[in-house]
Amino acid sequence: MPVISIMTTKGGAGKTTATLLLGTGLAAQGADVCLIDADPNQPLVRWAEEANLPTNLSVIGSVTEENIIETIEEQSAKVSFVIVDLEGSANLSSGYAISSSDLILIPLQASKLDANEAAKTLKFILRQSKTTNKMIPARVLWSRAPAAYQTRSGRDMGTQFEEAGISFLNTRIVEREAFKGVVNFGSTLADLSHDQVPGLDKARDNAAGFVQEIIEVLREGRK
Amino acid sequence: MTSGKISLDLDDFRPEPVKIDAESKAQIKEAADSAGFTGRHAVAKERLNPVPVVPEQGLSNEVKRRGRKRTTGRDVPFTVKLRRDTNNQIYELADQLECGAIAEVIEMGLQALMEKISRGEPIR
Repeated sequence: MPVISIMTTKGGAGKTTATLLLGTGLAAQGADVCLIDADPNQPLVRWAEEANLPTNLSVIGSVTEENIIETIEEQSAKVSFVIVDLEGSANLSSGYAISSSDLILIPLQASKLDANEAAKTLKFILRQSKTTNKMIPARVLWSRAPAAYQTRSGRDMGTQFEEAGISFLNTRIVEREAFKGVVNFGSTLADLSHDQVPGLDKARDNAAGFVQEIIEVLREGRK
Repeated sequence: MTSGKISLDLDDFRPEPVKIDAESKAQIKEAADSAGFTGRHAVAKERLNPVPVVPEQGLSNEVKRRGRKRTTGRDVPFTVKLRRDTNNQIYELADQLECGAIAEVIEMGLQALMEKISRGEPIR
């Protein structure tokens, strides 16, 4: 049932990567998953055209503000997890998607530009929550993070967000070749091989931790 | 290290339809507009059926005659103020010599002048 929207008004923040890792990770656990591609560049559709998709994972493209609500309604009745990958801009589709969502993920890189856009996105989510009278849980997700450490600007930024009462996921999506490999080789992390990309085990651990934490957050939201 | 091999029991997550009514939809749109979330997807334009270009000739054996277009090479405008009698004289000569254009009178006049000069005859 859960509908998870991945959004930020900033482009290139890691929305599609997070969508793919979460979607393929949940499908690998046996759940029926639908990925909705609401980005006009259709990155998920392109990936799906070349990828060897698991049978329990579907990708729906050409989704706009005209049909996004209907698509979410339809898919949420069919599959266990609906994940919506939104365009990196301030668009109406995001408004519709987040109002139908059980969880919003906001990928954030440690840059001021990303932080400004993430703050704008969070403000918008809060406003939509008030409009629809439904509290929509949101989590900021460190994305494309350095593997070994948290940068100083990242720490400062994190502190500011946390002081404003905004929650982060504990898991950070680390910048890894293997994640790019999912797109480059039209594959899933499970199907990639060690000779295709380096650091595959660490990437799989990272993605598994991410999926696990999302499930915990969703269960927490049900209580 | 789990090497990504986790096992999550996801049985409690079942398909369950989400529903957004028309009233909420309108409210969301209004809130999005006022928050500056005004981006819209480009609507794909209806593709026009390509119409094959039919050649003017070649569909039947009948040879279509092209209209004759004379090219004079005269494409430079020449504006000049004249005395009235000079102007009248040019037009009268054009009529008399059955010229197709006033420019012909000027061309013939220049030709005559050049010949006069080459013969060494006085000009003025």
